[in-house]
Amino acid sequence: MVAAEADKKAAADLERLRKEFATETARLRELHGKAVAEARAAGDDLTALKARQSQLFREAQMAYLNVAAPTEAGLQARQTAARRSLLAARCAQLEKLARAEETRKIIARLEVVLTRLDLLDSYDARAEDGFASLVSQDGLLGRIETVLAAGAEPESVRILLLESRLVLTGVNRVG
Amino acid sequence: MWADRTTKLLLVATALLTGCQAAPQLLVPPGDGSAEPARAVGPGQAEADFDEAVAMTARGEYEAALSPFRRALAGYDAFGPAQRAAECLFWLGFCHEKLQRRTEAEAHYRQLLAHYAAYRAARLAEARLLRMQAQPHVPQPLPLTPDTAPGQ
Repeated sequence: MVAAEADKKAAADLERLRKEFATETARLRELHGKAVAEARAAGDDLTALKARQSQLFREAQMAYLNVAAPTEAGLQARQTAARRSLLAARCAQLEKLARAEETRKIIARLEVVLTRLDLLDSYDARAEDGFASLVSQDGLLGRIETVLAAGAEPESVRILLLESRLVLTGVNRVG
Repeated sequence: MWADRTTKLLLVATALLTGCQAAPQLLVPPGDGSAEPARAVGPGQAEADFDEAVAMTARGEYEAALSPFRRALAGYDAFGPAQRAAECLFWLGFCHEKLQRRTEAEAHYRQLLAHYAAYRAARLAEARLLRMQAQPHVPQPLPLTPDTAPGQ
């Protein structure tokens, strides 16, 4: 009689646990569904944000080059813009002001790249090709973007890096 | 901030017109640490040396860049174009400047101004010379040895 009572209680407990488990599983499934939907929405938002950022950058680049070199296009426009904004000379002046060693290295590299651009014969396809290769070396533009995103450098340094990025982004190999 | 447009156009036109001429016969300048002048190589090799040297300079390898710049200078000096020979002299000065060898840097910049005054590289060299002259020359400290270390 006692054993039968115990079995009955155990069965009831088991049934209660089963129901609780089913409820919890349903709740977790619902939460997971919501999380997946939110992640998808966030991913869409991030993709949209990146596309918008990229568009804004292209517009800023076009505006910068149009103001600095209104009658020129391509590498010539970039060369004129860099010369008029004295980018290479500013590199030499501002390298000392950079707080991080990585930023100082980037600016030292930019001084060489921008001086090469200044000296470049923009009618020489081979020289243009060599210049594109120089710009793409060691992920220079990506490193500039990282420093700009961190926002830890003085304003004058950040402006120099941004202007350099505007001038150098999109330099392609001729071949 | 904006330079005079007409002057710039004239400079570009002059450089373009003179760019087709062969470079004046110019030995690799003395005082740059080379034991003897670099031997002239073919035009293709000069281009390769030049590109390699610029890439080294961009990586901050100023000392290593001197040798390919000297070889490229010898090649451009022999076969042209003069514009590239002028650029080699500029970059040799630039590398020496970065290595704190002021005398050598000035010698290369002055040689560039003397032989290739019409080129853009000469304008940049002139600006760098003026900036160097405006800065007081700070002698490099002697390396610490047991004799010169403090407290000895």
